Amino acid sequence: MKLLRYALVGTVVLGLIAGKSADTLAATADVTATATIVASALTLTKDTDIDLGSIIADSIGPCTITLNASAGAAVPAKTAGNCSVAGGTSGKITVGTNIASTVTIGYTIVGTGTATAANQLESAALTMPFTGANVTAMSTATNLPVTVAGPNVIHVGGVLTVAAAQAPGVYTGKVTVTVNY
Amino acid sequence: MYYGNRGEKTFLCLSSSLSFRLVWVKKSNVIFISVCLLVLFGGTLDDSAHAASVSMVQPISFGTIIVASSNVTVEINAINAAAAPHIASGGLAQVSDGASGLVQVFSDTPGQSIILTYPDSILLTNGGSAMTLNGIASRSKQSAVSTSVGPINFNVGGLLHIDGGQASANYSGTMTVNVTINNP
Repeated sequence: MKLLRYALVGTVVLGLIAGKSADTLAATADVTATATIVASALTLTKDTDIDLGSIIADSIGPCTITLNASAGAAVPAKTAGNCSVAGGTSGKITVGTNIASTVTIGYTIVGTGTATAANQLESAALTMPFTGANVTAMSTATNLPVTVAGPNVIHVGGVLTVAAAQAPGVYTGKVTVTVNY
Repeated sequence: MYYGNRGEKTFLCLSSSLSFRLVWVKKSNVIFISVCLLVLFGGTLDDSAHAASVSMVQPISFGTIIVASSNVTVEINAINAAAAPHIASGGLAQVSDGASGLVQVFSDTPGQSIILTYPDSILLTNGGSAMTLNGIASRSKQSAVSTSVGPINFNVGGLLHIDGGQASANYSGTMTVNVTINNP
């Protein structure tokens, strides 16, 4: 009888425990999310103009002055003909950025005097060929890795074609350098 | 606390905010168990006896993101552990600093099943500009079962969508995380 009473009580106890539903608690937490957006930025600073030096033209035939800055700063040199050149230096541009990347460089020659003087250096009505294609070939490669710390430098050169008995004067032009991410 | 003495049967029931314990002194447990169950069903055990707490310890920070003209997604995948943001897709971008969020749930009873439910998406805004943060649940810890009394960490991440040309600014938003605690 005593054993039966224990068994009954035990059964009741187990039944009560098993039948008791689990408590469920609910709560909420507010979680903040933040982000700061900064636009990428590129800056170009011209440090040095292109200077093709002082050239003594050949009275008989054309000559070529090459300023090859594709591997770094350079000075002009005669590469064809009988003219001579003294002085001069390649152009230099510094690129600033707030994000590491590889930029694409574009070179374009625009005249300083007349609207038709693209790919020319001018002295009043006089011109000398100085093409964008040659500037591209003789300047820093068009894909340039840039870093935030820098220095990120573009060296600019070109090829000048001097005609026989080219008229004396100061010839100028403008190279527009465009950089894009 | 409920304490009683019935003849030679001595028993003690203790209840606190953290747990409910039964202690008996004598070997015969028939009367003891019965009385303690009366105490249980008399209302001593209620939600207040399980004073679990939930709090945000650390917000989600996507850090500083530099973006160019392309759409970009930045991901914090904190489903397994605390994590830092990284560029998940898109064009030129760079992210620095930042960390996953942290929600802490204090378990007051071992064996508690804790489930966090996150919103599908929220907006991070600054004035009239906004960015969408989604994919939160799949990049966050969603559940745990406590093994002891103490805090349980839930790292929170997500996927941030940034448009090309997104206005430069500090953006913020708030999500409400629902926490369900099933007591054992």
